Amino acid sequence: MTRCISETMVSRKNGHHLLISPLSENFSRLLFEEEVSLTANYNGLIPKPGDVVKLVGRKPFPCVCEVTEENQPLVTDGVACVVAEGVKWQSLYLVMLNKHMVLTEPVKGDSGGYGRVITICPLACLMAESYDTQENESSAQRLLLTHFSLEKHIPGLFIAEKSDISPEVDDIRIIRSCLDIWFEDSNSATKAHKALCSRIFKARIERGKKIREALPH
Amino acid sequence: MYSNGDEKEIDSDLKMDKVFFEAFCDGDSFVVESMIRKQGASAESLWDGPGCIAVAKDGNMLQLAKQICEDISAKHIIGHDCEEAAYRCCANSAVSHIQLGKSFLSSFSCLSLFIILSHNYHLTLVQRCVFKTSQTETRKKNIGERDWLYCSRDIDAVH
Repeated sequence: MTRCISETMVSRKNGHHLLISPLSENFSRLLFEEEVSLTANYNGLIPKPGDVVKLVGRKPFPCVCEVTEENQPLVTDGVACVVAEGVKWQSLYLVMLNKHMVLTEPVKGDSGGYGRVITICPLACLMAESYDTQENESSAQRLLLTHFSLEKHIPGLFIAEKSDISPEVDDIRIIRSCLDIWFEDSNSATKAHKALCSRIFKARIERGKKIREALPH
Repeated sequence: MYSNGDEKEIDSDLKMDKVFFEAFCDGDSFVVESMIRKQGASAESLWDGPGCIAVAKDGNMLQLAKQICEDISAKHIIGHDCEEAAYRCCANSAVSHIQLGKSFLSSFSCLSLFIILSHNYHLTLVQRCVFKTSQTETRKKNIGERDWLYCSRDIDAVH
């Protein structure tokens, strides 16, 4: 993890010295790589979009999100879609599967025990912000999810923030992507937000511990 | 329920994650992964070896090179060629730890120094070594509280 001097670059900007080097592989992996969660699925692998996961024993939070034309292929069950004022909304369940947040759609013919994964991302790389939208006529409440990643491939449904800087061949840049999900009312949004934040903190505490261990002693 | 010790450790772990992850995701921040001090060739030259710092930042080699080119003459490697400079480096370390919380300080047998580029502090850096905690405490008294706080805001203090 420790670099030699020749790899560390030094600059002076605004009168201050800057020491710069690329993120090491160790820390890159530690900060952003998904961990395989043994309890995430029957086969010990992280579920992929399209996989059916068991929701029994977990707390699913019903919510909806807008489905754009680009995201349409991710949704397989047209029955769980509603069109209102030209906007297509998809019914979802927000579920926490160990170290991942999953948004699932209902499985046809199932009474709610299973859900089909539409998008999945590690909790440690996620930020959840609740927005009070009581000024609107609707009682629906919004939760903004932001995902941070080093990879250009972003989780399904999320929309990457546009960057003014054109990507280079050896670019290593944080990809920030966002997703709005809506809950029926303030109460259900608060419950989901609290549960999600609690799990995000737990995942981040675990990562923080690993960072401490990874620092040279 | 967690015990007091567990709570302190959890708090430190979360702060550690905030220091690295949030700083790194903030495009204007740098995270220093590690810093080592190289001892000089002779046994007596404890402080004349250069320091070596690894700084994490998102971006690519071309952009990093451009930043270097902004001031090509700034070939300045952080190091301590005198003991006084090393004291100041330690001061940065301790103040940074105070920023992170007292519990964090007690969790290391050797001091680690955190320097992060931010609005309030030019650098926060993570360093290990230099002094054992007990030695640093003694030097803290010698340097004085005001100097410690001053050092934490001035990157040149680590030179």
